[in-house]
Amino acid sequence: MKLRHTPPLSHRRRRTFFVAHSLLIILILLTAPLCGFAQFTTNYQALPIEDTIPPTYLSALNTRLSGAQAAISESNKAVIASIRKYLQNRTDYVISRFNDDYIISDPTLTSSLQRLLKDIYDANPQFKPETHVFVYRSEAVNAVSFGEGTIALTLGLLARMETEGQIAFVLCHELAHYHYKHSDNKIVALSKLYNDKEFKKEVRSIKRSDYEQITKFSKLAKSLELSITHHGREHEFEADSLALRMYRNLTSDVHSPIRTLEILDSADRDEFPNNLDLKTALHTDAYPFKDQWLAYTPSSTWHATSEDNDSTRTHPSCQRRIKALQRQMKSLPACINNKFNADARNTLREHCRFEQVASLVHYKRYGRALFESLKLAARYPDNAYVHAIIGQCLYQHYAHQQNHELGKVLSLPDPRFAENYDRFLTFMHNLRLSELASLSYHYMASRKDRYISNEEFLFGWWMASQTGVGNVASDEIKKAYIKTFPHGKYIKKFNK
Amino acid sequence: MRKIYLFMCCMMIAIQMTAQTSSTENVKTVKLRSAGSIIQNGTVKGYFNFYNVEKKDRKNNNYQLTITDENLREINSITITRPTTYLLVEGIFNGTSFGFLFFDQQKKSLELIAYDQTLKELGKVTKTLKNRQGYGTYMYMAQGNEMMTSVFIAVPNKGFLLYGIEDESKCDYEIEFYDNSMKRAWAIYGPKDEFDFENAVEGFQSDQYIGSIVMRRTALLDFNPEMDLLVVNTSDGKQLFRVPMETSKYKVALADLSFDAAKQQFTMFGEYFNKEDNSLKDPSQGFITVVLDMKGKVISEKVNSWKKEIAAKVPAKHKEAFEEKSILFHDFIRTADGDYFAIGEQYKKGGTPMTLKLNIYDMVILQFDANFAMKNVHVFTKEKSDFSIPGMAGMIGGSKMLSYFAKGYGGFDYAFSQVAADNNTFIINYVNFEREKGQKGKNQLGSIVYTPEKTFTVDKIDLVRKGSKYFVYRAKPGYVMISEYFEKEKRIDRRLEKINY
Ligand SMILES: [Zn+2]
Repeated sequence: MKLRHTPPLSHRRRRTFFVAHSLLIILILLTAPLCGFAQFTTNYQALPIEDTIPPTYLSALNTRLSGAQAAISESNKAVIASIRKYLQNRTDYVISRFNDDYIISDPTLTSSLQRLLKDIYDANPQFKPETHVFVYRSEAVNAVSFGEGTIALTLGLLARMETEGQIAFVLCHELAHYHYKHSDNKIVALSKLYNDKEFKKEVRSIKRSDYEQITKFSKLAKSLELSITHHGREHEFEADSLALRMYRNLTSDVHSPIRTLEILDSADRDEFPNNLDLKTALHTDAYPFKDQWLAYTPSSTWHATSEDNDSTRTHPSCQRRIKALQRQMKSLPACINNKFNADARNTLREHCRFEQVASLVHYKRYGRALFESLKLAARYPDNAYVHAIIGQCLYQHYAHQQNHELGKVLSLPDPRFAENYDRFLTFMHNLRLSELASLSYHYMASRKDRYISNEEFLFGWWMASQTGVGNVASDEIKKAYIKTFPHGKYIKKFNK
Repeated sequence: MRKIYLFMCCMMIAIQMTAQTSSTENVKTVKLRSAGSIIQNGTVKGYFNFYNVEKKDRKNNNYQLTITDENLREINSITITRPTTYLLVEGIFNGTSFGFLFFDQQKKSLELIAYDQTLKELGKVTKTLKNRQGYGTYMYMAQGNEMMTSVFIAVPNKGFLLYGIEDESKCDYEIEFYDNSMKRAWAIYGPKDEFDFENAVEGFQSDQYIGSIVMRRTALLDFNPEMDLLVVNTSDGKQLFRVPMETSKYKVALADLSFDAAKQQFTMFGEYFNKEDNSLKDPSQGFITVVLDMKGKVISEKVNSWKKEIAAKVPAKHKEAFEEKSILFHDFIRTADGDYFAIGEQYKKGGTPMTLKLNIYDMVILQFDANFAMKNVHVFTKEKSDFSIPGMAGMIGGSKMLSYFAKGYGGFDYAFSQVAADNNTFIINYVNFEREKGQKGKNQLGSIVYTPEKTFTVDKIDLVRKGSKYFVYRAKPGYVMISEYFEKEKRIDRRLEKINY
């Protein structure tokens, strides 16, 4: 962490900056997977699923909505009605995100975000602290500003962020979208457009034409889309620029903004460079791993090579955003206080990795959940929760395959995935039904003496007993669960 | 490999055409054959979807052609403008390029278009079908029927074959070879002789040779045709030999042909008949392999007769059924270890003379070893189903003819076979109406799996599910494609599901 940034950088020094930077990335990539965190050594307790939106936040949203609707400053009635409707839809959408269990408001994950948010507002008193930040259950590396004041950072993003500074920069970016009113302005622009006389005339004339209706409509839509995309792209640069200024009012750290974009840029690559060692992970003495399961030839089937055409995307490529940030940095004065700990790693990140697995299981995405928990198991070999989830997921694959519904919970291999994941998917598809059953059973059987006291594991063991592989009395396991965990989270599942 | 049925299909059309217009029952609304599998060497390599987007002008539509790979990932989508009367007949992939065959119902013409792997057009050619017999097959398809067998065939990496009828003939075959950019490399025709009716279908392909089966007749409704085997060079269409499909004692109905490059010989496999018998009407005597040299001369032959070798392997409890019922063979598979499998289905004529029916019974698989010794007879029981024979066809009488007719109209339960890439395992799929005791009947897809352990096992998938519309389609080996429609969300979910074994 000896990279001191003193603008302006000469051409030459900028290059050293990059070289040093990439070395740092490699260093982080190499060290991160090796060490686990003491807190997660033996177990993980998944956060509760928040079924419905907290009533206080619901009423806050509604208050904000009526405020926004009252503040519409348009004269055309149709435009006003349209804006009102869009605003209502936006709030409804946020509420649905809560009600569909996507939003985590649990302080375990959000308190540090709230604190960062407060710090940012304290350092930037020109902005009213009107926003709220939450965590979003998704493995996508992303953040969102819904536009009415709700901001959410995904588990996937938080699992990738290496420093608090990076998280702070992401928050600044989303705050910038909010305070620039990007979403509000888009609503007004769209409402005006749809009520525009010329536009309406054009739509009517297409509807009346006998031929090529769809071509004409899609041309119209494309031209609209282009103008919207174009604005969207401008908005990203605008948000980055304001975010950098806000961020620099908070700290002298200069690495995080660019590093953040680099991480976003590499989001579709697997963060751990080595492929999962499936053999070590799934081999048991009672049911030896078969090497033939690992047969892997990435599908070479014809695909149109997608030209990386930046101009058609809603978001400009991170590389271009990085360049813009670098230009801007040259002109910013250096400031002195540095709030963040230089230690690149934090427990929030690890916590999010575990919670990501819990989310995937909750949304019945067992394939991805198994993959993520196998990755965790390699780093936390003594964690009961991880082994329990692996066992549960293996069983779910078996049960779904038996019912010819595997495709609902496991993706097909795709060479466009990171190789690690593509290999994992190929492996899962190589397994026959009976092999899935045996793997599922023996994974749990070989670990049961050690982890049986864990609730998740006990339930996973009950699942494994349903495969009919070993001669285990399912009923006994069920009774043991009910006795040990009379209020356990799986009690309901037994009755099904 | 279901070569023979194309002939039958030609004959059925002939019957319909001569019996002419009164038979309205087959004139269904012409529907667009909009979606299908892209086949390469008998294996699903992807899917195409061709649909009418909008009217371009008075005479033309804008169509969208979309292709996905075998895992349902969209590869590309293009818009093409063609007459409103266009139908997509077939989409194939030869490892290098796609070939699409279109039929214009009004102009009675074909268009062949080649695309590269990203759907960039490589070339196209239009061909007017002047011969009535020539466009008959396409009209049959345009009425909503499945084509019996492919007329448009991929030649690995080299191009495409098109089987048709020569314009200036009564009904003589035409075999054309088009390269990857749809330039015609060569064409061959049935000889000008007393056999005015000569149809050809693809029989096999090796690196160097293309084999076709030729059925020659003197008249359209000649129901005792002669079968020849025609082998030509892939490179220039030059004939290597054309010989009758027979040995000194028997006639052969070709099921499978293979070329051994090392030994420079061909091996023919199929059912055999006594010389005086009619292979389209009379029951076969059993199965035969015939080895031919490079001139088409018979070097050796070996038979397994129904009465002796095959009967000896029929499981005791099925003996009676084997004596009472006939078997129609759908497909023939040769596994990597050399074993031959003949896949058939039992049937028997039933009903009354007024309401003629073909009753369809169990699936039967005959297994021969690499030396063509009878190894095993496998029977897979399933619910009896039946196929009602429409009015006109009753005329053709014999139960064997009726079985071809039923085959042509999808009356059998057999659906398709899938052979794994390593040729060690295969799956035979059939659709059956299964009645479990005390339950309402339900449609099921039955999959007979020949496992890596060289045993058979059967997997079943319900084709009807509560609360959703549910369809099962052919997919890459080991999988079926399930499309499920969710009424509430108005969403179609298409996914591949593994067959269990
Ligand atoms: Zn943004």
